[in-house]
Amino acid sequence: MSTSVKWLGFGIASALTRTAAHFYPSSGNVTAPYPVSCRLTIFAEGQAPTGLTVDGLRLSQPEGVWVDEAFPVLKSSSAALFGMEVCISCQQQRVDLENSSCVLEFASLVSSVRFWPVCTEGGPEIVGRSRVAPLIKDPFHLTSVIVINPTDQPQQPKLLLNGKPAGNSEVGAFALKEFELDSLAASQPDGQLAPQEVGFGLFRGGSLEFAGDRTPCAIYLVYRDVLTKRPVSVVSI
Amino acid sequence: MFNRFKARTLRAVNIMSSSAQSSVNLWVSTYPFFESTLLFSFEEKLQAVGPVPVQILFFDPDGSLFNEVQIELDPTRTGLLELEPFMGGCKLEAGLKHAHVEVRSLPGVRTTSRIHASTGACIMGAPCELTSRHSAFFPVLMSAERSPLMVLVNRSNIEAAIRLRLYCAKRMPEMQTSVPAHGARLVSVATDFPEFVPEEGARGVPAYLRISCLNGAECGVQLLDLAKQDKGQEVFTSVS
Repeated sequence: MSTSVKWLGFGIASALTRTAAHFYPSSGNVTAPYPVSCRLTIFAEGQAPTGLTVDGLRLSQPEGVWVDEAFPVLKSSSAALFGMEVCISCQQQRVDLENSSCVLEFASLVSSVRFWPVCTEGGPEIVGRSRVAPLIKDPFHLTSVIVINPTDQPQQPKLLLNGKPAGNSEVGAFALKEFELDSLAASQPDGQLAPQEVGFGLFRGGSLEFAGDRTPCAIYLVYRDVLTKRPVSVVSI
Repeated sequence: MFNRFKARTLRAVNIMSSSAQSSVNLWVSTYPFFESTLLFSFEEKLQAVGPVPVQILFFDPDGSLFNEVQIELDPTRTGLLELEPFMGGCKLEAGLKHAHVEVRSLPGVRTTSRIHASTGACIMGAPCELTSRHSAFFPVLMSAERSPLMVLVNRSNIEAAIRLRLYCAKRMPEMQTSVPAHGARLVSVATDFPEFVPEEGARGVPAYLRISCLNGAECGVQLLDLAKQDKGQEVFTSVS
């Protein structure tokens, strides 16, 4: 039974890309439109966490917020990436929000990148949740890794690439950090991922694992278009 | 392609038939717009196991099993399997050669589907599971320049009854469709809700889709969003 659900993700603030948070407060069998509130908190390196509450939401009604309209400071911010916590809650004690969902979107004129952020509190227990994902460098994608720390203490999640430690992943308090593939692959034989010749060209890939005990951090792999460097997919581990 | 994988071994069969396995159901397509590739990543603990057996079942859109593949993969590197050679027996539906694949392997293996075309590639997230208590929701942009497609995959033995409700402005139209047992279906949002698509050049309207399963079938749903660009090319994205 969860009267609140929390997700941890990140956003992009730039002239070309806007970030939207979409949420669907759902309680399975309860369909009455009880009021629901949403708390958005953003943070970045060197900037104190800032939050606000969005009212007027209703149970079983999908809704979305442009993050840069909620936080105008993002329009003048120098940080391109920012961490974001989304928390929805309901005052009705008998409403279980466990089945709610959240989607984050990076919208540009060209297309939209959408992903499911990591649920850190109140969501359904996902048995056997995967803690590994492919790190890719090939004619289509170039991958980087984003580590988000929502706590007031520095964190160093243990990352393994093909079973070997993937460099120093320390992230300061209330901050997020992007790690390029080449720095993560430095621990591999020859300092890079092993190549494979496939139908569409040369493919280099490795398994990136979020190992050890769970930390409060969230980790995302960002797949960027090789030519434009624009994110095309985001996957959490 | 086939030479990179070892033949099925007795050991592999024993592992796959045991209860210690995980499975994932994905949507793939290989003609005429996309190519699909499966990417396999492995947790460190599997390096002690040695070659990891993977079984892939291919079901056509109507749910008929048309191919089955068993491979072994080296867990010290990312596995990659281009699917075009295995899709010859798949029928076309909605003008696409698309299929539902069930990938069975050991716990600690993550299977990711990637689709690509000449205009780019995207990771196709695993379909969001629909249950009697849990419905899926996806944000979409209703625009003449966008073509959102809902991809439905049924992994159960019964036909799935699916309801799609569009939340656009203050209206909530809905439609129902069905997905054959083990089959897959594509639903074009712009075709099924044409009155909500603005005229060409007009600003897009944000909307939401809520998808629920009306019977006890185990079904998954994913969004494939096609965005038209200046030169007639299309960029496609999914939710991952």
